[in-house]
Amino acid sequence: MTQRSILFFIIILAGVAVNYIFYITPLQKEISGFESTISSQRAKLSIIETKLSGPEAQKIVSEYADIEKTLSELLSEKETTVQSIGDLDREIAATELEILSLTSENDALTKVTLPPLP
Amino acid sequence: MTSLKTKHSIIAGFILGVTIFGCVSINLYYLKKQRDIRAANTVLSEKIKESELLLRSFEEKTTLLPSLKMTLASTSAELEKVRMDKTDRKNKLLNLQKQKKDLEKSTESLRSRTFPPGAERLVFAMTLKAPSSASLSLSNLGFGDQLYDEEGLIAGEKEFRQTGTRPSNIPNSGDLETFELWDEDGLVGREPTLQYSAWIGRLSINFQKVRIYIPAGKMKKFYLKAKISESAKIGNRHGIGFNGADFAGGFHDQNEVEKTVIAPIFSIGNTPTPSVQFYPDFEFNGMPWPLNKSRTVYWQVINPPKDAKIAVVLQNLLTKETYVMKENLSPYDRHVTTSPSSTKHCLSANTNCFSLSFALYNVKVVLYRGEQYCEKNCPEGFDVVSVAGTSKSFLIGPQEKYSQNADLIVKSFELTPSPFMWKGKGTLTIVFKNIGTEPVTENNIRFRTHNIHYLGGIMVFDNYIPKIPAGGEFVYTQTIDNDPPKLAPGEINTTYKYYSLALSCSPEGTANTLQTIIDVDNVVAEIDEQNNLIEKIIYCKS
Repeated sequence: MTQRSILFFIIILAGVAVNYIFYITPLQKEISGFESTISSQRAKLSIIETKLSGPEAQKIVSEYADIEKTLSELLSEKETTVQSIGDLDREIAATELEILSLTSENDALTKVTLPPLP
Repeated sequence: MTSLKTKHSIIAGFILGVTIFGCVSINLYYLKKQRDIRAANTVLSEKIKESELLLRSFEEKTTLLPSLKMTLASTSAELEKVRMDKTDRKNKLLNLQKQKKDLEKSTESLRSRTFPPGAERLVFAMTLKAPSSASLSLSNLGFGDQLYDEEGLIAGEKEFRQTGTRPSNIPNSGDLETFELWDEDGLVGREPTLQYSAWIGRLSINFQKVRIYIPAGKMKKFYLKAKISESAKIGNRHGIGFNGADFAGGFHDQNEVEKTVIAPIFSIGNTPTPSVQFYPDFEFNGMPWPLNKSRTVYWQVINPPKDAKIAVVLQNLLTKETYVMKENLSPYDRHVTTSPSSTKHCLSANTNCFSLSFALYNVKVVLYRGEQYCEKNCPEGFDVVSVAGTSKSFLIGPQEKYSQNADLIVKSFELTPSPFMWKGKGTLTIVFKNIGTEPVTENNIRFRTHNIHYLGGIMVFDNYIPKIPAGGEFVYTQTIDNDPPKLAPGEINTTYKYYSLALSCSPEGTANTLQTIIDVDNVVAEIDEQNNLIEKIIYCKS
C-alpha cells in the first residue's frame, strides 16, 4: 500500500463519517421524534374513540337525537295548530258578523209580527 | 509500473463510486422515511382534530340534554294548551253556526213568502201541543189577520205618523177570501165567521163548532188555507196569528198549551220571491261529514224563477275554493249525492270525487241562467239569480279508517242526582268499552251527548276519548249544569266550566231523553257500527 492509497481511504472514510454525522443522524432524530408523537397521538385518539363509542355515549347521542326530532315535530304541530286557531278565529269573527246582521234583520222583520192577542 | 498505477486508479475509482452510491442510497432512504412519517403525522393530527370536535359536540349534548328535556316538556304542555284552545274555538264556532242556522231559518220564513193575486195558498201554519198530563178537545178555533202596508207598518200607522191622528175607519183590504182550516189528516173547518175591526185593520177568522182532539203529550199541526183575491193590493203584507180556542172537557188554561207559529208573515206580490229550502234531512247539527262517505243533500226551490237552472257547489270557507257537485239541474230536482274524498281515494274514483281537506264548507244551491254554470270570467248571458237561503255550512272530517276489528260501545251512562234539579248541578259518568278483538288505534275519537227532548236534538257537549285496547274501558266524568237561562244549550260556562244539560222541566217531572254516541265522526271502522249509542231518560224536578 502506498501512502497515496492510505490517504485516499482516509478521505473516503472521512466523507462517509461526515455524511453520517451531519446528515443521517439529525434525520434519524427527527424521525424518532415523529414516531414518538404519533404514538402519543394514537393513544389520545384511542381514548377519544373509546369515549365516543361506549354504550352510555351512544345512548346519550340517540336520546338527544330523539328529543330533537320530537321537539321539532311538536314545534311544527304547534305552529300548524296556532295557524289553524287563527283561521278559526277569523271564521268565528266572520260568523259573528253574519249573526249580527241576521239578528238585526230578524228583529226588523219580527217587529211587524202580530201584536199580543186580545 | 504504469499498468500497476492504472490498475490502482481503477480500483480507487470503483471504491469511490461504490461509497458515493451507498451514501446517496442511505440518504434517500432516510429522506423517504422522514416524508412518510410527516404525512402520517399530519393525517393523524387531522383525525384527532375531528375526534376532538366530535367529543366537544358530545360533551355539549351531554350538558344540554337536561335543558332540552325541560324544553320538550314545556313545549308539550304548550302544545296541549294550544290544542285545547283549538277545541274550544271549534266548539264555539259550531255553536255560532247553529245559532246562525236557526236565525237564517227564522229570517227566511219571515222574509221570503210572497203570494200572487188569484192564488190559493196555505197562508199560516202552527202546531199545538197538549200538556203531558191532559188531553185537549178543541172547538171554535180563532185566527187573526193583521194588515200591514208595504213598509211593514200596521194599517193606519202611516197616517198616524203623518197627521198625528189615527184613522177611525180603516177599510178592509179584502185581500183574503175563502178560508179553510186543515190539520194533518185533512179539512177540519170551512166558512169561518169573519169579523173586521176597522180601528186596527184586523180581521178575525173564527172556525166555530170544530171538533179536534189532541191526546196528552201529543202535537198537532194546523194549516190555514185562503184564496188571495184577484184584486189584492200588491205590496200589502199580512201577519196571521192564533187567537185562541175553546177547550172542552174542563181544561181551560191556554198557557199550558205549547204553540209554535210557523211563517206568520206573507206579502201580496206579482212575482213570487224565489227561495231555497234545505230539507231537514240535511241537518248536520255540527256533525262532521266524514271523508269517503257518501251523503245526500236535499233541497227544494220555492217559486223557482223562469229559465233558471241549478248548480250545487261545495265551497271551502277558508280558501274559498269551490267544487261543482252537479250542474244543469232543473228547479224541480231536489237532491244530489256525493262523496267528498281524500286525494288517495280520488285517484281511482270516477265522478263527483273531490280531494277535500278537514275544513268548514258551504254547500250552495246556485240558481243561474246560461248554457253552463260558471264562476269566473263568465260568458255573456250567464247570470246568477239572487235567491234567499241558498247555503248551509258543515264540517268535513279528515278521518281515514285503520282499525278493522275494534268495536266501541257506550257501556253505561249515569247522571247524579236523579231526578236532576232545575238549575241544579251534578255529575255525569260515561263508561266506554272496546268489545272488539283489536285495539282502537285512532287518536281523534269523539263522543257526543245530545238532549233529544227537543225537535232535532240539542248538543249538550262533546269530547274525545283516548285509544282503548281490545276489551279495555275508559271512564269519563263531567261536572254538569242545568241552568238554561245562563247558558245556551251546549254552551260551555267559561266561569265554572260546566256544561248545560238544557233539561226541560215544565211540567215538573218531564222525561228528557239524553243520548250519547261514541265515534260520532265515524273515525273507527268497527265490527258493528250500529251499537254506538245509548239513551237514558232523565227526569227534571223544579
